[in-house]
Amino acid sequence: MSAITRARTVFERLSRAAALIGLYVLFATTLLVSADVILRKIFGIAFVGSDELGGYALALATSWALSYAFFEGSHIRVNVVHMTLRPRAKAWLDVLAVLVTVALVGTLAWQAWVLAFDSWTFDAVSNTPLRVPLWIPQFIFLAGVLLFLISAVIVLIESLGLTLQGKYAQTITLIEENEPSREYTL
Amino acid sequence: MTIGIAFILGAFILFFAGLPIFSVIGLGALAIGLISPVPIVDSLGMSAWAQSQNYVLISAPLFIMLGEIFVRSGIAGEMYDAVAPWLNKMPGRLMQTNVATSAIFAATSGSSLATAATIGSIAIPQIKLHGYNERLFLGSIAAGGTLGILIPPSINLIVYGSITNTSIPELYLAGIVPGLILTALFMLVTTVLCIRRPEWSGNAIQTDWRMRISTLPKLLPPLGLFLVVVGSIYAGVATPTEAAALGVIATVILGLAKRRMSFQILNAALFATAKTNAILMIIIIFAALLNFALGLIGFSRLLEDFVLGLDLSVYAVVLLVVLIYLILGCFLEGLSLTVLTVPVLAPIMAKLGFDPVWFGIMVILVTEAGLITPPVGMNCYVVQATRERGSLMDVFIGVSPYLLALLTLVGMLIVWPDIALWYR
Repeated sequence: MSAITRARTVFERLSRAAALIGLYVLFATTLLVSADVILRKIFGIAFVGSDELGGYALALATSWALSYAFFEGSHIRVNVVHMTLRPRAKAWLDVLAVLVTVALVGTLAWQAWVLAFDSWTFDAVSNTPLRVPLWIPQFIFLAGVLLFLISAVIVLIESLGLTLQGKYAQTITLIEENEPSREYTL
Repeated sequence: MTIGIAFILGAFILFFAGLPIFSVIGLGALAIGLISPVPIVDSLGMSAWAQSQNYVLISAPLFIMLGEIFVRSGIAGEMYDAVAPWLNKMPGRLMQTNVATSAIFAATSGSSLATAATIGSIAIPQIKLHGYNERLFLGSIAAGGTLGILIPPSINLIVYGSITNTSIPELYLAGIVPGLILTALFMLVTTVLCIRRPEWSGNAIQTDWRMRISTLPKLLPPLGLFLVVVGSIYAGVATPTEAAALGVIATVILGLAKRRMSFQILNAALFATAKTNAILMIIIIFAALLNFALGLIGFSRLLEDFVLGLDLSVYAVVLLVVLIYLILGCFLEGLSLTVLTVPVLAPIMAKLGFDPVWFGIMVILVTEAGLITPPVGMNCYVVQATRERGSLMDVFIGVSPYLLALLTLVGMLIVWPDIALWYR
């Protein structure tokens, strides 16, 4: 196994773990929000800020799952034309798709960094009773985006190498959806 | 104008080159940045952050999570068994059950694809077993699945509501009557076809009144879940996000009671949710940037002035919009279609005096049409993937009569807007 494939395997495992952590946080949020509703309606006790925390949980669950969804090849695409192409064209288009992903996610990471760093510098806090220092959730969000970026760069290098060697089928399995059936959930 | 055409052409080429939709949208936004007086890219951080912690949007992943857990709890299979004996005498038999069970399932699920996949996996083995016309049977599953996003809860309506700042509870109230009418229309289509061609209907199943009554309690879990989730929204007891959270907990408790819940199952449901949520949110994040960019360069205003300047009759505008959606729906999957078109079209429709709630239901209906029309009819893909044999064309042919029912409802909604706005 080459170094890059090993790196990819490590990041694939890391991404799965990150996605699951993010979703358990979101799952825990459902407990918090439910408790909030029930206590408020039945006992008239109100929590402060479960909606705000829910927002941070969504940001965490989303950004930490981006890399996992990328590895699963499940980002939605129009493949009417794509699926009729020959392996070589398909492989090159897949590499192009990853290249564009790297560029966009790189931009997103850069801007998320600027945002989080500004919040840190200016000690920005949320405009709520909780007064959460915003750099905390924003850096957590940034971490997920960075994970996605690194994964995309690794896959770009690996798939470019494979395509240049003429291993089109391998490139395609690397980038496209692994399990085509049963998992459509949108 | 030339720039605009080049822009749309470029986007189409990239779409068809098979680039992920979020990246085409993102590239579009950054490309506008090149001609815009104000840098677009600088607002990506803020807009991504704003979308990622949007309180309305939290309900979307929670409803996805609810559906994923519910599917794995085995309750859907029992629902099917409980409904089938009641519709055994109707022409089309289990095909009617497909539609009716889809409607019940849709009352707990916010996703059309999940509905089609779930009912499909239960129903498809029955085709050979009872000798049904395969195409129409598959069509009834694909069509029934579309009810998932119309009958509340609906993930698409949440996304629509968050884009247009429309009340989700109102959208959910507005969706229910069209949902019931569409269910009835689908069943009517099946009935008419099976009266004309009795051989398309399969064999009756063994049943009697005792069985009909004794399996009824199996419908209680979905009914209870509907009351918790949608009922609490209607009653004003809970916000959609709170209702979705309550629904998730209730589903887990149901699963525990049926001894169908373990960490393994929960993990599988959470992984599936992670994936769906991530692909949904990244599209929303970049679409927000694109719409910000379009607003900044005055495109939205331009289009608005153009459409209003055409001085068309109200009906002509509606028909035009429906037509645009039907065409785009052939190529774009439902949520991408919503996030790309609604920010531009909804303000125009509002200016023309259309109610945003009404327009939301209209968008859902035309999105549903997109789900069952070739080449990118995702519901048909899902049914075909569950079937694992034969050709995809069988599903597209089988679903075509149901498309007529859907278009009929579109027409009805235009003529009688009160179908959606009955609650006012």
